[in-house]
Amino acid sequence: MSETPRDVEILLIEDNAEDAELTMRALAKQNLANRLVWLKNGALGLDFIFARGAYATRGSIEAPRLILLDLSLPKVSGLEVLQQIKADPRTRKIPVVVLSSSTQDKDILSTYDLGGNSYVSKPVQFEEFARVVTQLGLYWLLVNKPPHGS
Amino acid sequence: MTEDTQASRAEALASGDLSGSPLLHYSVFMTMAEGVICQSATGEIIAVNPAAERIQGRPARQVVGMTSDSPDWNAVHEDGTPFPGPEHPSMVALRTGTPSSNVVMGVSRPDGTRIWISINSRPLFAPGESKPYAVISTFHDISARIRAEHEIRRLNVMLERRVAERTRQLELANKDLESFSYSVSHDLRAPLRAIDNFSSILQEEYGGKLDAEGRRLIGIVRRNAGMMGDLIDDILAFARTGRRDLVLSEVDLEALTRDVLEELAPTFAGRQVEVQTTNLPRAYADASVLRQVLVNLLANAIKFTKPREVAQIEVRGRTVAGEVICSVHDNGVGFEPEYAHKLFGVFQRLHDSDEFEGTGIGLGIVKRIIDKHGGRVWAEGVPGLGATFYFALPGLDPQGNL
Repeated sequence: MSETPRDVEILLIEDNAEDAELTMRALAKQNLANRLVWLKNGALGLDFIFARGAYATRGSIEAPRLILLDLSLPKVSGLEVLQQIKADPRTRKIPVVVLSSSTQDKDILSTYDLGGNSYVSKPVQFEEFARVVTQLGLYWLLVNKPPHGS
Repeated sequence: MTEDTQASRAEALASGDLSGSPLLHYSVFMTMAEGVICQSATGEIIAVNPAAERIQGRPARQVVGMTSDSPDWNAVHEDGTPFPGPEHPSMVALRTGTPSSNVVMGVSRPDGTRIWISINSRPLFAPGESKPYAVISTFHDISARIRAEHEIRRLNVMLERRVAERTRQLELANKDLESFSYSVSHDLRAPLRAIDNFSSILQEEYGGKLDAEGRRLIGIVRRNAGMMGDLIDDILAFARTGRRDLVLSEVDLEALTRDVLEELAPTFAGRQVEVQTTNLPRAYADASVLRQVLVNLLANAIKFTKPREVAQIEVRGRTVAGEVICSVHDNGVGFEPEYAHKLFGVFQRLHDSDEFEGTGIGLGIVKRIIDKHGGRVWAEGVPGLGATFYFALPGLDPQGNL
């Protein structure tokens, strides 16, 4: 895991250490986790994204290529993080994939209403979980074409 | 009075030509059930009949000479506000010369009880005069009715209060249930995912260091985690069917059944399953949840015919007395009829779980969906021969209404 913000490809905001480990394992198998930063709550996530607080030294906002966001986070909820990212013209183009345990319609609707790029429900089963995380990593980092300058 | 005069008076009454007779008027006045009060042009009571004495609880000698203004009446309107003397119907009739009917008034009896009376007042005019010289008021006791009305009103208010309170409680309970199902959805899944995933990683990365028994034990952990995952999904599905509002439209049961069978085809690949649909009508229902009903019933039929060399499933429809009845019949293992009532309960299973997999919630969901439509579900079974599951939906009347 690289700690140099400049190099960050994936920002994982997830409070559950086991879920984070599983996600990183699945991504690592595809060599997608080399430049991944894992933050444990929404407040840190926002600090990182907007280069402030503990991450003020980042200076300018270097956008990660993909944000994987859990919804039930301590301090600042996932939906609030999403709202702030999508409300700011400097960060709105960063793809945000919500990766949540919830299968509630309410959460799915809120995610898309706030401009989330994708909603993925974390499967319980090992093979399924690995497949889903691998697929979304490959898709957003290799298949998806982001706008220039982002 | 001699016997002679009695007889001649009775004869006079019977002859019917007594229209001008003071005797007839007096007899009517004395015997009628309605109270009569006669007031002079100044409002003083000059005569009352026995019915008036009885209803008001005041003998004539006390009442004669009183006016409508007397505080003894303690007169009130129906809403309990004071009914001042000048507004009494008799006084209005004297003042304006116009009659009034069915005026409701509450008055106090000397014993303090309040009675309710309905009053009609008619002014009396001398020939050629425009100002009445007297007023006759008749009235009857409507206390029972008024009390009943007041009671109804009181009970209504109470009922409304209770309904409001119950609604509030139900809304709260609903909210609790929603947050409960949310936490089931989220908080139970996370540890389950850890159990399944990390035991898989153990198997994958350390499987070589484990003997057969060790690998078997990991298999048990994983299988149970998987079962619990299915249970959580099913509980959530069950909770969701209760919450969602129905979106009703005309549904082609034949097309829906075909569609569902196509979806289920992979679950019976390699088996010989014959499905026949007979006479499936159109129904008025929420298509997406009715689809779930057919998925659950057909999946059951497919599951419980597994031991048969050729599974035979028939989906049949008919319309009886405006009701659309649909049945799913199979030649599977069937069930003991005495357990039929348990089938539609949540988490009720009639078969051992190592024999037929499942969480026991599918028919609970079926019942919940059909109940929501205002319909019925039932089942018939013969052990070893098969089972038939029925659901009935309210049909459309000729106007297209439910």
